[in-house]
Amino acid sequence: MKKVLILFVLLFLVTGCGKESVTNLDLKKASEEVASIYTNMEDMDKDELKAIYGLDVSLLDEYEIKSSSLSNGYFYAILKVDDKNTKEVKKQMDNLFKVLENQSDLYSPEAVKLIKNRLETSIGNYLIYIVSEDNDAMYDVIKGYVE
Amino acid sequence: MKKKLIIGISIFILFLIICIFVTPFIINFKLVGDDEVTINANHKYYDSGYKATLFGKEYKNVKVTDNIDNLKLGDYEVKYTVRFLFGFRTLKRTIHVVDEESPTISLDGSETIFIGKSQSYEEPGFKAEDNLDGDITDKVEVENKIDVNTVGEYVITYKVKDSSGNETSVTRNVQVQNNDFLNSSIAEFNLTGFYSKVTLVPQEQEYDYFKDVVILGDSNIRRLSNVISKNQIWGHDNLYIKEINHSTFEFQDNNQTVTFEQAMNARKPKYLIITPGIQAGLYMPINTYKEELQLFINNMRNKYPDTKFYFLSILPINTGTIPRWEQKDINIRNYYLAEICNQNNVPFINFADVVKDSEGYAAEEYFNCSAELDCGFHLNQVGREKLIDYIKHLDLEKEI
Repeated sequence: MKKVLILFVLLFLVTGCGKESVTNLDLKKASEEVASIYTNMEDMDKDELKAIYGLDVSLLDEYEIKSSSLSNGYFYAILKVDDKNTKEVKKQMDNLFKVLENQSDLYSPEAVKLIKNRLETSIGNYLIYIVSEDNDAMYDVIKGYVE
Repeated sequence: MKKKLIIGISIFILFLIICIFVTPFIINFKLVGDDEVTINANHKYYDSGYKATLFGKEYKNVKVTDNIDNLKLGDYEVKYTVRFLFGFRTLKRTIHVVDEESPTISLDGSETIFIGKSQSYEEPGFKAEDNLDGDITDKVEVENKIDVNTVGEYVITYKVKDSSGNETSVTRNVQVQNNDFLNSSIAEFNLTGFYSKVTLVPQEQEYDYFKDVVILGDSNIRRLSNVISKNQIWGHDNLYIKEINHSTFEFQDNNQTVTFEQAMNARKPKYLIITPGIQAGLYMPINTYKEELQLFINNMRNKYPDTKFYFLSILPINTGTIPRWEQKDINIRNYYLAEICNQNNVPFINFADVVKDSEGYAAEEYFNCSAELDCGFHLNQVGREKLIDYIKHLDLEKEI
């Protein structure tokens, strides 16, 4: 009887204990999988991000930012940001999307709609932005790499 | 017997206690993301979910419920309940719905307006929207200290506060000028005769420089491919001066993507004609536009002294894809383009005024209207041939 009790307590300690949330994201692997599903996604150059879109990547601890080489408006950004930079990075990302909207305005009103309906959220210190026809599906892929 | 019964009941009760309270902890059950999340009102909440595994394998018997009302400020909960045998365990995530988002103010008309001295200022209009309060245009306070009798630059400030105290302000510049040229109506605006020092005028004769010309620009330039050789065309749709300076474009003969530096080093054109692009006309703030033009000129002079370069005015628009009132913004940017050319002794090709109608918009005979997204801003075949013919009659070797 005592042994059964000890066994259950040990099991409980091994499996159920510990922190109740996980917030570390394997950013690179998440990005690789998203890019493999949604093809034609290309890295955005950091100098271009600064000069054209106003995003200073030196504020980011780590990042993956890709846009589609087709004119469908697809885009995603997974940004690891220190708390002290979060507000400024969010402001710069708002500006980035304004520029993306202007670029798509003339030729791709569908892309403009997708940009306006983008997914913006965070997991721990990671800001996540997704522009696609199925934002939830792309988000599910990213969430799978949280540990 | 009694002793065995008591032991049996005790074991059964212990078993129940273990099943209900302990065995759910055998599931490795955690929230993904923080256990407290803040979202702004009227923004969708995206749940980051949970992880539940039993001995390394995904465990699916988890129910997720929430009571979130993202239109009402307050605290809400998302509950994740895992069930195993007779027991269950619940994790909670608290969602704080707040209003920390400032309202937005959008201005009708141009961000910079030019008026002649003593002319009256007419407010083009504005709209204000808030994520929680909706349309709050009537709450906008406008501060306007323009003195129309004194030449100078003035700023109109538009301010609005939402019910949560978040505030926004935007500004519009108004320039009161002696020279009311920039305040010309769309029909009156014409750069012919202005900055004649740098403006190339077509001659009767056709020159043989054209075979060494490369033209760099947006969709109007890309579409010249059925009039001239593709190896004379660089660019892509929507390309504008800021992208030329800081991003990439394509050689139209082989679709290779290049930076400006790579393009110049690879092809070394003898004559390069550049248009700042319709995007510059529609969206670039004037100061940024002037800075990028100057940057381009400095770059050319410093790095590529063997290439002669020329600016081509931004083409006009008409009713169609782009709202007609935008012609005023394009005119202003062409004015500053000519001015910068004049300041820097860069030849200016004013083709835009050649293809306008009597009202100052893109003349129908030269422009396409084939679809909702291709109406009133792309040259048609006649317009494209006219542009090339115009360039062929320019003395590109003229000393400025």
